[in-house]
Amino acid sequence: MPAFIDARTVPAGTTIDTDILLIGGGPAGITLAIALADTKARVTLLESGGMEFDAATQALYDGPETGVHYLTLDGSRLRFLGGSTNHWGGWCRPLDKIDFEKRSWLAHSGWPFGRETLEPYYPRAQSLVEAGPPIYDKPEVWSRGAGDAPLTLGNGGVYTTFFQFSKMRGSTLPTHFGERYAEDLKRIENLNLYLNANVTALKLAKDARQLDHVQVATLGGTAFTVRPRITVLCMGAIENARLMLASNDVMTPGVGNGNDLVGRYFADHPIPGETATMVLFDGRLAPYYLNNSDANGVHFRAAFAPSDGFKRERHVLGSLITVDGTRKLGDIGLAVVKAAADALRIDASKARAFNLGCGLEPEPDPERRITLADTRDALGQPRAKLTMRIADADFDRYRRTLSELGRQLMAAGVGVLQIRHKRREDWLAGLDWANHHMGTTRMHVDPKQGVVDADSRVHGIANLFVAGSGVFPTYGASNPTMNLVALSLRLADHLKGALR
Amino acid sequence: MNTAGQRGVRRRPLMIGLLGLLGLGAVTGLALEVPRILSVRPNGPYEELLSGFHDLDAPIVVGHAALTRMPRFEPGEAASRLRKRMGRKSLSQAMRDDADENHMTEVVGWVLPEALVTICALAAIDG
Repeated sequence: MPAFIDARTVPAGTTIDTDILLIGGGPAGITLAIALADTKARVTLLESGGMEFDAATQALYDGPETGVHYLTLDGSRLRFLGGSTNHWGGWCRPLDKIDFEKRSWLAHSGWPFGRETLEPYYPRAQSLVEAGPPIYDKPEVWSRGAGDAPLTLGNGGVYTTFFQFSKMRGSTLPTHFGERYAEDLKRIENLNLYLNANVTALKLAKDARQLDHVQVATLGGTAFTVRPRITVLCMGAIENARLMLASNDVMTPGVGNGNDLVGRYFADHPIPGETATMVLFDGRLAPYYLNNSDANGVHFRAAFAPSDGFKRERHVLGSLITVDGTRKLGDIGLAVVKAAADALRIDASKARAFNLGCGLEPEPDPERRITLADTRDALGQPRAKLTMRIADADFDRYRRTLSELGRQLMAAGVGVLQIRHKRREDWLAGLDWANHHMGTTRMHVDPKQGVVDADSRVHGIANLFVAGSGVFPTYGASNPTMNLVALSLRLADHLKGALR
Repeated sequence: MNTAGQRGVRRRPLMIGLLGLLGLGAVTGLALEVPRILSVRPNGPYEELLSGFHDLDAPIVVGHAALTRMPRFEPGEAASRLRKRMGRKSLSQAMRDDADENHMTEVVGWVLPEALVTICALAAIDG
């Protein structure tokens, strides 16, 4: 069984020829390497980090930020084999159908294909993230397995949806792709995986229509070259954009950046804190809303979500509303519950109040972007700079969804809901982010609207592709990992075709 | 005085004391309950609307909170509009209908049926 290769042992000046080069050993790169194992192509995977965290390597991620408060760029991702799966929460849920649609009321919306194109890849993606058999929105299966029915809501636009959780074999943790698949990767005969190998430049042919080679450097000072037939950038949305922008010797604006789109439309899921209070008059809520639970051999949890129909009708975007523990009510809250229950002739003596949190989908924003900073990292590369923004419209849309949930609780006579934030500063005060880096190399059939085409190929460059959630043109509210794994499996199929 | 007589003399003040205590309790109870009973069944202009509640304390609190955000609230007009909308429906039914028909409004962020909020505002004005 071949071991991984430490790039620090590669003689300086070496040129490695390969059929497919995967740059980055996170979920996208590892998925592609596994999916390409049944081909005759020589595959090379370059991972910047080693098998575990290293502070000097991690520091390559550091970079300045401006705008709305965001996580630090070196804190919101991990730079060693497995990438950011080394700290993910394991939440899995497929994107909704509407997430792929062009919506007249949402600027920059529309994937080049519908969810049906990804459907065939979800079962294997589900298997790779180890989230159990795909059950998701079949409440009858969960309630039968867990012994508690979902909350009854009145007819309307919000429903109970279900997450499944990645659970690494033999561990309580989600699947860390590096640790989990290291031995599988070592068994792949056509794969050479290099650790501690940082790509410092994408070198285009003079006509800028082909990627000719890439330059690789280690923190120890070794430098070598890889000359691939096909290259896939799998470094995550921030690093993919950073490397494309920094590789500007042939195309001055950067690789694939002829239309000034690389780095734009960066997105993450905002997580505003304690967004709402839900009071249930009888105090009863199935435990799987409050905590991750086990049923049918699967780790799962319920949340509330706007239906596709409601999104279309009310022009709202995705959100996943979780129940985050109980809370005490103030005087007005107690009075509201008492008055409402009294008027409805309902006993509220056992009423309980719950905190509602959420992750919500932001609108695509070209000004929320990655650019190059003036400062440089230890390898001499310009650092990434993030300009972070969030629109008032994002909060307004989510408010509409919460309001609908409140209406449905009342229509069913089961409870009442308070939306806790109104002003922008309220929303921003407790704002956290999900570490879901998306956008920057968005997918669109038109080169003026997207960096990559429907096959994830960089417009205008025949042999350069991008994998990962960086290609998402709109983001949905679902956690991206399983979806980007499905997209990577689709890309693997395309590459197999391209090699034939 | 025989023993039985002594007992008879002692029992009388005891009974009087007990009756006195009962009477005091009843008076105290009435003193506490009458205002509540009166507040539930007021003889005010919105009596039949407010009869949807057993207790007006909570609606009054909600109503005051609602009124701070409704500076132009005109109680007579609001009551008349509500009567027309409710017809012979109970408050409970009117609230559910409001929810079904998306006639909801917010009070300090609480998403509530318009009928409930209007009646709470009337309770606050009347109370």
